[in-house]
Amino acid sequence: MNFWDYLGSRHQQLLADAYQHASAVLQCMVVATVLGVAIGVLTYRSDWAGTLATTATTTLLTIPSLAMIGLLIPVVGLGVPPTVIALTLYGLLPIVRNAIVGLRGVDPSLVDAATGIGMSRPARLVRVELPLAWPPILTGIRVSTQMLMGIAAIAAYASGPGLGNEIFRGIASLGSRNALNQVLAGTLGIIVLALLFDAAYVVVGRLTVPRGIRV
Amino acid sequence: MSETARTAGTTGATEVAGATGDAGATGATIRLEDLSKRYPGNPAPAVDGVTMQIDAGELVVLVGPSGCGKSTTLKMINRLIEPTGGRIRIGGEDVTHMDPVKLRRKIGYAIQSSGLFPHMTVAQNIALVPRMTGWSKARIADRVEEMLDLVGLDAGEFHGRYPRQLSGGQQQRVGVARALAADPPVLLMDEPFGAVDPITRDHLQDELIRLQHELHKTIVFVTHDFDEAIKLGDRIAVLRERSHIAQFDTPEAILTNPADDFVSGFVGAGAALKRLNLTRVRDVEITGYPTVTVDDPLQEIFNRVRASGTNEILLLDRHGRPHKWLRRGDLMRARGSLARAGTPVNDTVTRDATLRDALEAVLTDNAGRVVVTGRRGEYTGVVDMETLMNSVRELLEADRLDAVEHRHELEEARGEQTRHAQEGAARGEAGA
Repeated sequence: MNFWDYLGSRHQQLLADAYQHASAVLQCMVVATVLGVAIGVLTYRSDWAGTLATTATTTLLTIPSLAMIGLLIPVVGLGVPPTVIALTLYGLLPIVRNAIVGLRGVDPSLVDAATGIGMSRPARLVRVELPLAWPPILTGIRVSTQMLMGIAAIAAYASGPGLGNEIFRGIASLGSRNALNQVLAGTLGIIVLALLFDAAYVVVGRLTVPRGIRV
Repeated sequence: MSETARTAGTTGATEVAGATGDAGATGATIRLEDLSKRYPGNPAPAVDGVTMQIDAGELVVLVGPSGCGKSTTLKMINRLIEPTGGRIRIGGEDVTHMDPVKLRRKIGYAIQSSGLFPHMTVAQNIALVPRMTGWSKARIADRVEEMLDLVGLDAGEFHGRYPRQLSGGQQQRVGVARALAADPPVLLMDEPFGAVDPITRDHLQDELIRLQHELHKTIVFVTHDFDEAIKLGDRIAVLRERSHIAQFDTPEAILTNPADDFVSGFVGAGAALKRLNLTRVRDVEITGYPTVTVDDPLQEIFNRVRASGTNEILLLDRHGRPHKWLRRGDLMRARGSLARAGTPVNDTVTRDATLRDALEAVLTDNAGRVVVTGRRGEYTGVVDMETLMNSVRELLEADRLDAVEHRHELEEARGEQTRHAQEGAARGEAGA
């Protein structure tokens, strides 16, 4: 059976896996974005808190994803919980770092002007600082998503959802007729998903970055 | 934003406006009382006990070298920097401890390089403060148009533009429009024209003078450019380090009578030139010049030239207005008619022109003199290089004498005080 025949006969299974893969990444990205921006907002003002947040998230990223999932299984069990927790934690780093960099990069004279014309702190954050820091934050989200696409494949190790199942199945049955097809289908599926997500982010960027600061 | 904050903000603004409305000025008096700023870990205060009163409707310029604390002083008025000592009163109300957000909505604030938010349109930028103070949409829209009109920008054209689509000067105009949008009685300007080119800066300064004639706000303006201070200020406060006031007076008084070496050093080497701006042509000696009128017969004109001993004579028209300069050579070549002879008088100055204008005219004239005219353009005399130089020398000499006398008086007064103090002490001891 060649690769195209394999795709033809298994397309339903593959589409279901792809859907679950995308859905897991998307949901984890939403949580990671909310958390990451919140952490950035809370820490960007202080030197040490900002450094702490960036260092903590960097340290998280150095843990191998397989090890992280392995460590989570005894605590939260198999299936969806370890997948969601691991993906969210990995997704944080680029977002937190870009949020801090973006918020700190807002021209201090604009912050001064916002305060000077009588904006309260929350108003200044929502109306001035976050909109101006949005382009770098969006870049962080994009990088994060690319990374999570790959890491989500590992989740199959903990019986998580997604295209990783194809890859792991293929690896487990190396030598059998469909082993290569399975690994190939999983990998290519992830690449296609990643490209689709990236295209979606371009659209999101067009829609959400204010016209006055669009490059 | 809560409803209470909104209403409090608007009533606050009307109170201040109402308090000074009787005087016919829309500004409010600002009093700084012993205002200080000390930063932790730094033994020397950044601003040390500034006390000054800025009257309603007055434009006061704080000027001084960089790092003298002039910006810090300004930012303490809207409490962008919290003072560590002293009080601020605006329109009689102590604002040292009121909610800074509410306070700032009553104080316009314009900064260097405009401070416009790049992600908002011109209209959105201008509408910010009115929106925060809870104006209705229709009122805000009207106000935005009105403000754009006020600062000389076409509302239809600039309304929807983003700041980066504007030139530096236009951005600065919008910045001023935003600062004035909610009609605050007080306007703070922190080196607003520091980042634009000299020509645009000149325009913007003229515009500000015009605006102030219309609006009569109380304006505190910070700059390090002394010429800008002279041009704009009703009064100028020259600040030395830690915001100590070296002199707080009218531009004339500071130029002619600097309080000490620091002020005269800051006024700079151009003091003589700047002084020319403050003196009028009528204040200096205007020399007479031999004149003839177009109706005089040619022979008479010849005789006058010969008799005057000068090389040139001024020809006036029938209304006594300067018409042409005639040289001896011109007369030789005239052959009976003056229609083509001589060089026409291009540039004249009135008696109200500043000496600087006169100097400009003299410098551009190829014979180094300019005709002074009266109210209806009639000839009253001539100013030449020599006259100007002599009068400037005299002016400066007089200024110097004034200053010496002033210093003398001060010393005497101080001597008197010490004598009194000593006598008082002696009497006290004798009494004991």
